[in-house]
Amino acid sequence: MKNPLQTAKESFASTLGIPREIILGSSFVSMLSNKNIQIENHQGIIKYTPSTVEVKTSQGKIKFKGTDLSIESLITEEILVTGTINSVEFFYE
Amino acid sequence: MLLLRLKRLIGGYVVLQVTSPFLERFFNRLYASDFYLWDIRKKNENCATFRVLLADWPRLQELASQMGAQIRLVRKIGLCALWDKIRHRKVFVFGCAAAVCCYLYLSSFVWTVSFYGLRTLKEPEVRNWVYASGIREMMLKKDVDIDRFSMVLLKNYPEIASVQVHMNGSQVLVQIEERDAPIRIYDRDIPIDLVASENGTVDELVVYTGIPRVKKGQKVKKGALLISGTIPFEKGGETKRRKSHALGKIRSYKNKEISGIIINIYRPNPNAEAKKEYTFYVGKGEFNLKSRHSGAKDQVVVRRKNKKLAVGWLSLPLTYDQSSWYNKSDCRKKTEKEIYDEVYRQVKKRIMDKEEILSLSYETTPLDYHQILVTAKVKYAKNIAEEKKIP
Repeated sequence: MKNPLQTAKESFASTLGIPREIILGSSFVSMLSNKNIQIENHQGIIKYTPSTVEVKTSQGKIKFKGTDLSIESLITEEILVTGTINSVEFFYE
Repeated sequence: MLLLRLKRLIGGYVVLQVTSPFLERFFNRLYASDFYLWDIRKKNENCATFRVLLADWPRLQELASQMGAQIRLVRKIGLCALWDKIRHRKVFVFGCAAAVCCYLYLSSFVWTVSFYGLRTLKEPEVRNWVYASGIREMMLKKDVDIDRFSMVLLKNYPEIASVQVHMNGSQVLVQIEERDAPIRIYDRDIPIDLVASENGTVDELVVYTGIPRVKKGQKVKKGALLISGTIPFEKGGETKRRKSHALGKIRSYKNKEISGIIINIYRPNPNAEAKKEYTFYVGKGEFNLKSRHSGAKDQVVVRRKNKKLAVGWLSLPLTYDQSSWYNKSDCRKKTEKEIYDEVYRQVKKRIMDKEEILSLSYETTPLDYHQILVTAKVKYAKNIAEEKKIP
């Protein structure tokens, strides 16, 4: 069951046309083909190997599987992973 | 992205290797402490490399020691890192800068003037012409006016058909093409007879203007009249004479035996390796530099004389002879035609290029394992007419 506060925030964001990741604090994932994946609003790395990267977000975790994965940059709230990405899985609570 | 990379390069960054059983925790702690990390790559289970700004390096060392992670500096990159290195080597940097300045200063002068394409003209004579035309060694390169120099040479020296001048570093290269026959400007107002310049037989006679006084096959002595410029004509029943500029081609065929031509019968293959020997000439002395080479039986030598010594772009006023020794197995024997062509070239040089060779035959004597001594018999045509003014 969804949190009423969460629902209100979603309505507020969609009504005013404000980006959801700012209001809801949700992570923003952008991918360039299967080579680059950028995640904004993350909460840290859970696991990192050349074949698997798991990143924590406010809603749960995102898991990438692939080959030759490397973390191109890691700064506050933004992570860029490069390599050959074969799958992306979302594990949301 | 480009600006970010430039910023990193200018500010400098370090490549680090971290060893820790909790790598993810280590990286999370770093980014949460506002460190900017990039290019994180895992090497094995507990080891990864990453990059961080040079300015953050001291702070990161402290944090890593608190977390119990082992950090190793792999390398420093960027202008600031370079400056750190140079700061402790002031004398070396100064020396490099001084050497570069000296090189730049010295290379602004002309060090040598070289000539190519000379056949019958002698190099000292051409060199004097070049000096008179305004180019010489040790002048500033910016003062070399190539166009004006080429025009002056062409205007003042009719033996030259064309001139190309190039600057190659500190060397001026003058490529000269000689006229096959010197240009003769005939002023038809000047009355001229053609007389024999030496004793000989008239083997070829072509008259353009004037009256021939000799026949083909006739023997003549030096000074004998060959073509007269005085031409008779009839006018009003009288025979009058008109003085004109006689023109014609009178050639005598000469036979000559030329000996002492040494020809190499082997030619090295294009990629053959050679052991070199150098002989330098300094003032009146000479000294020799050679690499160890094996005995004469299995080696072929190619000699090049009077080469100019050059260091990179800088040509020095020193000459040397170079001998290149090749293994016989890396060489091939020259064909009959190649040997004939080489003999022809050498003979033409010796009889002066202007004469036309009519026939050539030669005999060879083996000199050693790779050279032959050639005695050539050449028949050539020589112009024996010279001008003499009619008084």
